[in-house]
Amino acid sequence: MTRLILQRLFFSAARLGVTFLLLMLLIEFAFCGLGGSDQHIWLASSYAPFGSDVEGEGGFRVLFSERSAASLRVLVIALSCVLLIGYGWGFLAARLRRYRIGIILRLPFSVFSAIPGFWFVILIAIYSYSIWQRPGFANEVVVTSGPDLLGWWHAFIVAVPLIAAGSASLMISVFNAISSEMSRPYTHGLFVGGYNSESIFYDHVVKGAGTPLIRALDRPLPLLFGLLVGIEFAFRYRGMGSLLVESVNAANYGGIILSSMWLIGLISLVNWLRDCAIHLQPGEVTNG
Amino acid sequence: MANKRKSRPLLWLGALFARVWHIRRVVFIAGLYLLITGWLFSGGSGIDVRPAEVYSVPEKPLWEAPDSAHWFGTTGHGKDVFTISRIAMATSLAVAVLCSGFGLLLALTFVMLFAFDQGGRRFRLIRLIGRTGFITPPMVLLIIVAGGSGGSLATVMVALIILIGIQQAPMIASWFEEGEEKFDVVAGYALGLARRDIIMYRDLPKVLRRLAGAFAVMIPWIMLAEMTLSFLGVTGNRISCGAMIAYGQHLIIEAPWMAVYPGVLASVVVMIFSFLGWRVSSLLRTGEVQRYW
Repeated sequence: MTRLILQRLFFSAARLGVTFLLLMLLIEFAFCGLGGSDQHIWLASSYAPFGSDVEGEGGFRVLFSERSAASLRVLVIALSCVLLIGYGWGFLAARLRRYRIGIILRLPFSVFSAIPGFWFVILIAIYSYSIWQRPGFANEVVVTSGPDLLGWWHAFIVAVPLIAAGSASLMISVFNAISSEMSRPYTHGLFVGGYNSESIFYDHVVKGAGTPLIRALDRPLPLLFGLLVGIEFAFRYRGMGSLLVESVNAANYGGIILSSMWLIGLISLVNWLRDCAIHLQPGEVTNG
Repeated sequence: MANKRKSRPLLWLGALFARVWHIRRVVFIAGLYLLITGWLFSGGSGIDVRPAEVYSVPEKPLWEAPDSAHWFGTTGHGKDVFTISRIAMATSLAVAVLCSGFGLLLALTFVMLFAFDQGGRRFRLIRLIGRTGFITPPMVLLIIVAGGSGGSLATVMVALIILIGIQQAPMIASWFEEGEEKFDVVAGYALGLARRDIIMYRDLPKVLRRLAGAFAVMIPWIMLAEMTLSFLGVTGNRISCGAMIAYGQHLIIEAPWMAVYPGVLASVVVMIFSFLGWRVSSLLRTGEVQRYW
């Protein structure tokens, strides 16, 4: 087991390393090759600190830890809801496939995911100003004492478009994984053999679809992290996504690399956990 | 009763009706696509409309709140927000169609380089690149490229096309592999057909049919991605609903309609294209297309 975990860790680390090198190349190509900048990636001056408006009083370390914590808060809310809704409703849609209930279950999320997330958070801000008569965007009030309920509220607003898009995406993956297992010939054999549909579904189909279901775990992550960047910036939420946009606008390579690698590292972590889970399934033989 | 033969025009009309009836769903969906696209482009492409100029506020603003004459209100210069929003969505649609089309074409070309090889591991390189690319959110890469290059539309489109090509190549490779297991392909091998003939005349038509579904599904996602980039201000001073919302959010106290209504139109248009995309992909049995945008 340890060997397998370390083996997958090695692959994940190698992939992360390659991605880091590609990211450096991309920055050099975009800023110097296409943009005509003199700030090459290997020059120390390209990693100058941000202005005080971005860093605040605490310096870069405090900026990084604060922003990581803020983005993690959003991701904890978004990922837990996406996994809960995506798997739960995907299972339900597959179980009741004959009634074609999947479309109805998916519809609210799919409709919501067609709405631009950055526009949704601006609508919330306008609503806060005009109806609640209180500040709208996330950077307008900072809680200095007591429980930071406002911070959680802001994180929840940023997470809502992520939840809608991620749930719709994961629901389809889960539904397809179970449906393809259900359409295999052995289920028909079991049905002819006198098994009831409940037993076929829970005792055989779900077990058989184990690997594709685990594989679906990290599917919505690139989408969620991509959305996070735009929505954080739109809502003026001080997280790693908005740090990326601010760094790109300020041509600060340190900020770009840091925020990008933070996002990529989290996806790699989930990807590694997913790989380990697939390989540690009892009786599972896969080629990765 | 006399045995009277039907006239030739009647027979021809009957045959035409039967054919149209056979493809009635395709005709219906194509009609809806034409209708919405025609409506969007009926106001002209307006590529030279600059949001920074349109959304600038003069000393004495002429803006009006939404009414029956101007559904979405007017800007500080008295221009109709609805007309500008429609031009913006037409631009987004044009970008999405071009990028999705050429991106999928690039992915197909990439896969075809390996499709004629023998063996189950022929697409290993494509999968390896796809898995490494998977851990990087495409939006992050687009922001870096667009922001670093100064935000020309051509650069953004080329970056989008390359990213779509890389992301979707493993999906197309898996379609080829699925096609190889089908009865007609196995029968073709048993009858002694050459591999080239099997790939070109049995596998490829099925893949192309599914590719049309993937194209339809991807259009609304690319529209959203383009609007997001435009909102972030990394695609230059070019008209797009994202840019309009970005400029409009500075006026949410004085003229909130300038940020709210472009988003309404964008949401409705993206929703319509999403529904049409699902319908097309289910008719063509495309299967799951992974959303990255």
